[in-house]
Amino acid sequence: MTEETVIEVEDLWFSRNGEVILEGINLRVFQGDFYAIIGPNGGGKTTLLRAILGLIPPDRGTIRILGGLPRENRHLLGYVPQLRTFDFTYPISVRGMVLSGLLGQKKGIIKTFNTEDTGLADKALLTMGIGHLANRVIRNLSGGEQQRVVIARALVGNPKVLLLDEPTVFVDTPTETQFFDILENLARSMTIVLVTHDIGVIVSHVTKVACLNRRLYTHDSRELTEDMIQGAYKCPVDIIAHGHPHRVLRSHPPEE
Amino acid sequence: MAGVLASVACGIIGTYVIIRRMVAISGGISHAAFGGIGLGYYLGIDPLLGALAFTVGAALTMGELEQRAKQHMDTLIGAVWATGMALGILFIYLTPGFAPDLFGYLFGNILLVPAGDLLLMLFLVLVIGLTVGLLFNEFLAVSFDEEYAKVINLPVEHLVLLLLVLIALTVVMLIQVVGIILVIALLTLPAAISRECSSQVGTMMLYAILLGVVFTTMGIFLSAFLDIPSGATIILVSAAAYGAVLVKKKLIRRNC
Repeated sequence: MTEETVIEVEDLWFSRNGEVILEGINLRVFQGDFYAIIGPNGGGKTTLLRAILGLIPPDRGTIRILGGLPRENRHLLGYVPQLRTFDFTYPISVRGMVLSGLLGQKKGIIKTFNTEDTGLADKALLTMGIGHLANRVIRNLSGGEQQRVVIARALVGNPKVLLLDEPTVFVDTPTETQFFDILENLARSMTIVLVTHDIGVIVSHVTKVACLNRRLYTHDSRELTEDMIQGAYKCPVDIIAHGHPHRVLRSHPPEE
Repeated sequence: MAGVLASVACGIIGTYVIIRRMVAISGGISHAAFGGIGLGYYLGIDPLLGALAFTVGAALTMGELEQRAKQHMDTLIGAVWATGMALGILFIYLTPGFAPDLFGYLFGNILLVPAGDLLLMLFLVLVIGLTVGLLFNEFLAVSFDEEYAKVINLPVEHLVLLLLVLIALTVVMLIQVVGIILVIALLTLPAAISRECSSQVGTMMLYAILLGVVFTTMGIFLSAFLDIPSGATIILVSAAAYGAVLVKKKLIRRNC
């Protein structure tokens, strides 16, 4: 894989109501990375992703997506938000919702879908293992199925990077394993940035880990090694030193 | 004829009002129209033209202020709603003589729509239908998930403002049929009923249009037969149908 930088964050600061949420964040995501950012709730994970997407203006620092500003290039990313920013009772079919993910790449004022687009949508649904749901209305789906549709919508435009914010929140444990198998397959052909508070699951799949709790602690391992696992678990220790011990320890399985 | 034209407009736009939860905004816009009607009397021009200017102005003001001044929409709605009414009262007070069909504008008078207004309505329907037809997929994306639409770089702000302007145009049309005070019901009830039995925005619009035609026709005939005001009758027929659908849904526990 080439070493092209796809996301570059330099000295990013962000505060809300006078409280510092992100402090001097430096992050580089290269093409082909499966990058996990872990950290406690309230550690600034979602804020960081939203800043990368240009949805909130940072106090200081620069963000580059494929060398350009977030506003210019964010449509080349696939975003899976943590919170539902839409209404699941909206009258739209699964295929229709996935198709809406393609609109950003349509040129001109009048945007219509052709059979090629429908093919892309169906392919994205197959990738997520829900091809059979294409004609269903989204309000009749289960939480896990809905989450897969949300990811399919992010995938349909063949994004350079897939940004996932706590993607397993809506998924139960058995489907979760299956879910990470899908992600692992995707990681072969796509750069993925995954944000989660769940330390246990991610370690066996990702190629790089960083810990976020206001500051970002990076562990730049390229392969899956003992070192990296060590690194990942060293991180809560760092965070403890920064004064948030309880939160971190609670999400920490006792036998580890 | 006026009823059919109005039904087409409120079927299309009412659908967006319902799925994007803009009922209160529509109320604000329609009451702002009263200011325009007052101004029309004062200047001696067609009050509907005044209403057109005021509704479009109110729509743009509320949309801009929400996005720029970070005000809560319901606060803005309250302000615009009352200001529009107050201006209307003031202008009518300042106008010498008696305002002849003021009551018609407040409560509707579908049986006495002048030919000129009918032409204006036809023009507005064409504008609304054409705009929605061309931008259907964009409106779908924005009304479904505004934040995601932003991420894929759709011109969300412009689309939202345009949608508000379309609501304003629709309100002006409906004033002739049911009057300022009852506009909100005709805009929302057909679409609310049609939402219960459709799984796609397109079909929802179609059903809403058909329901609107049925309600206005039934309302007019009933009002002529019983010699009661037409606008109020149309609304009561619609509300009764909505109630019946809700009860039926509750009893059968399935859609339509």
